Amino acid sequence: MNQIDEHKLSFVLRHYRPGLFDTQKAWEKVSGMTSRHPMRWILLWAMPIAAALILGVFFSWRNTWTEYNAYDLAQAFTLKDGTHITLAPGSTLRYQPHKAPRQVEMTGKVHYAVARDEAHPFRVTAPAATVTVLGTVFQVSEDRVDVTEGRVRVDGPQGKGVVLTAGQSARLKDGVPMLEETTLPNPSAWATGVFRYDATPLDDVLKDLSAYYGVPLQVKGDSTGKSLTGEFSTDNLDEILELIGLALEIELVRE
Amino acid sequence: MLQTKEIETLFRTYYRPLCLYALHYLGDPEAVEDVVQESFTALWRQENPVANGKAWLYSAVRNRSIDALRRTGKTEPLPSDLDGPISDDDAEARSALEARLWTAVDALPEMRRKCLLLAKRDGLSYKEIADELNISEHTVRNHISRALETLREGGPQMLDFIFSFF
Repeated sequence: MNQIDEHKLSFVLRHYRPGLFDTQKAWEKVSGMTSRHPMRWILLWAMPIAAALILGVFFSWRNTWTEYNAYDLAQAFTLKDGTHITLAPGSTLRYQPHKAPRQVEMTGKVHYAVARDEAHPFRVTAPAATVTVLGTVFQVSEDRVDVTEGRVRVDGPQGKGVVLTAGQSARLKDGVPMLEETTLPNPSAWATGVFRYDATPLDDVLKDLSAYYGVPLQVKGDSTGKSLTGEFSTDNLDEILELIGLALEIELVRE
Repeated sequence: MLQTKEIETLFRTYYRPLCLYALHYLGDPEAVEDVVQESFTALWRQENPVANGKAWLYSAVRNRSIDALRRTGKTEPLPSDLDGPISDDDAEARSALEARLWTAVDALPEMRRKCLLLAKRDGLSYKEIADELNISEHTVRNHISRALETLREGGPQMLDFIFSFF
């Protein structure tokens, strides 16, 4: 800045007062804008506020959690993406339907029939593990994952994972999912309401039913080499026992 | 007759330069704003076509300023600088950059502006400013040198940018 500019700066600084020579205020005065177009000024103030409000509502709407609980009875629900879930008594599940329709958090035991969507994996975060799937039927509980259809990936908190296919189960031991050698045929009967057997050895059928009803069962007669195929509703144990007995020509009794 | 839109453009471009121009004549900011605003109102009411709005406004402000000075008894109304009289052409030529500097001072961070004005406008020493604002002399010196840096280097360019919004 040359000498004459220093003069200009000195002149400006000598007379400067904040708010003086305010072009906007002067224009409002000269044009009578404030009285003629009050709406314009209201809009100028209101629009950013309205925009902020809309954004706020939008984001809080997006972040809304939907929560499901099952108290005394198992409860079935359908999520936004078409996935069917069944919650065992005492279980909870929550997710953000607008933000992450295929990511759920859960406690307790939940059975899933996941709507297929290859592009968007379905993720279950449970206290013990994270389960990622594309579209299958499986269930997750505090200490195990059972797969009925398709494939799922189970990751423990330490990041070690296993892939399970239909009929396989994993138990979580110290945060590491371990493939189970022997599994019950219908780990999810409580949710599906059906026992499904396909040439299942009779001994496995009895274990399955015992586990479900909490009742020890015994065969009267010779059970060796006998297996069962068919579907039974979970409604009534005595009826199931009678049907199986008739089909295999044996007698099943509660101990 | 000029359209409101054209008047508004002239106003947003020349209001502050015209104020600085009139300030060289009148030295009183309040009288300055009255004169400049009256000139714009007169332009608005002008029935005859105005070819050069800027030139018309500068001469309107000059005439009104000289009238105002004559009313206070000055026989030779001349524009002036802090050091004494300057020519009317000089006052007009300087007003544009002075307006930019004014806007640049407006845009300074508050503490820098306060320190700068206390020193350059009110003539306080760094020590007096430090006491007044409850900061160290070193900080005062810093604020002032930063402020001057902004005004000398960044100010005018930055204001080109700000003006382009109008």
